[in-house]
Amino acid sequence: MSDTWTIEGREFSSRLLLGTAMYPSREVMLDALKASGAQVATVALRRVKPDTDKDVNLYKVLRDAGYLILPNTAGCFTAEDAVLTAQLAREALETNWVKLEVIADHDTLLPDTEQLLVAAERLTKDGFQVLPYTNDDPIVARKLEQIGCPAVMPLAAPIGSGLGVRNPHNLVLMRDALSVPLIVDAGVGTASDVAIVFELGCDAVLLNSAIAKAGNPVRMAHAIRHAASGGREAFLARRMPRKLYADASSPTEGLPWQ
Amino acid sequence: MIKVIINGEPRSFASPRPLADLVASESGGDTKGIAVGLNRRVIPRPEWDRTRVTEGDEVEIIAPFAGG
Repeated sequence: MSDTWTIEGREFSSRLLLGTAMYPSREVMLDALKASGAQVATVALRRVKPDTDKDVNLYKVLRDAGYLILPNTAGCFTAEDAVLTAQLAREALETNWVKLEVIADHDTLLPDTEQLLVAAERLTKDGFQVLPYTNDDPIVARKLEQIGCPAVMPLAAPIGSGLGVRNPHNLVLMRDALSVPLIVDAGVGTASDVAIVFELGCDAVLLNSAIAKAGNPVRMAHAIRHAASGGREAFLARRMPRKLYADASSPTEGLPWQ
Repeated sequence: MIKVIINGEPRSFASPRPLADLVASESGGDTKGIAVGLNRRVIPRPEWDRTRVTEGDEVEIIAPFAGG
């Protein structure tokens, strides 16, 4: 049964998007990407140094393997820097898609949503498809959609924390408030976190640390692929209502000795 | 002697240099996947040849790296 989703008319069968950082090796990273089934891989933009041709090849390796490469603006603290980084990324990677990050501080890496909205608007006007990394705030999400973002990407928990979904209620509010895809970006730590995201009705998950920092990244990628599938199926199947008290499953009539 | 900043490092040259030469030498020749900013403005690849880097310029030469 086909269960695809789209961003700006581009169709995806996988609901996972993967980062490419922090894996034990390039080989493990590629194996994990493959095991996850992801079709989108994120990259950062950094200064070229004479000894880093290997990472210039990252572009070629990912492209040849058929991944849609999504550049990010990680490390930017102002709208101005994020816009410039996105423009450099467009030139380097020949894509007008960008994962827009405008970070508020080093300790939390939480989004600065004021700067994010400014950058999202400027980039959208400049022809970008802006996928914004944002807080789990339904109001900011609505503004991002109004600006023209083709998806909104709230955190489940701070980047790299692995804490899982801290505010499921807000993710559901965001899902209800938006007509564009809701991609949970950051904070998941293991397979069950990913299943929960999908059970809540979110459309996709972008993750990196949960796989790259697992003891066995390729195996975790495999587990998360199944968790995504299980969570999504559970959402589509519509779970039973929650009840405060027990409700016997076996018949209560015809009990012996009664 | 002209002084410029390339990827945050001060450098000096005898005379203004074409941006294309600078990118080629800094990137080891393969410029696929590379983008260049000059004084906080992106310089499209077709303009690298005719753009000259001169006194006080700040050049950023960037490429994709592993990221999340």
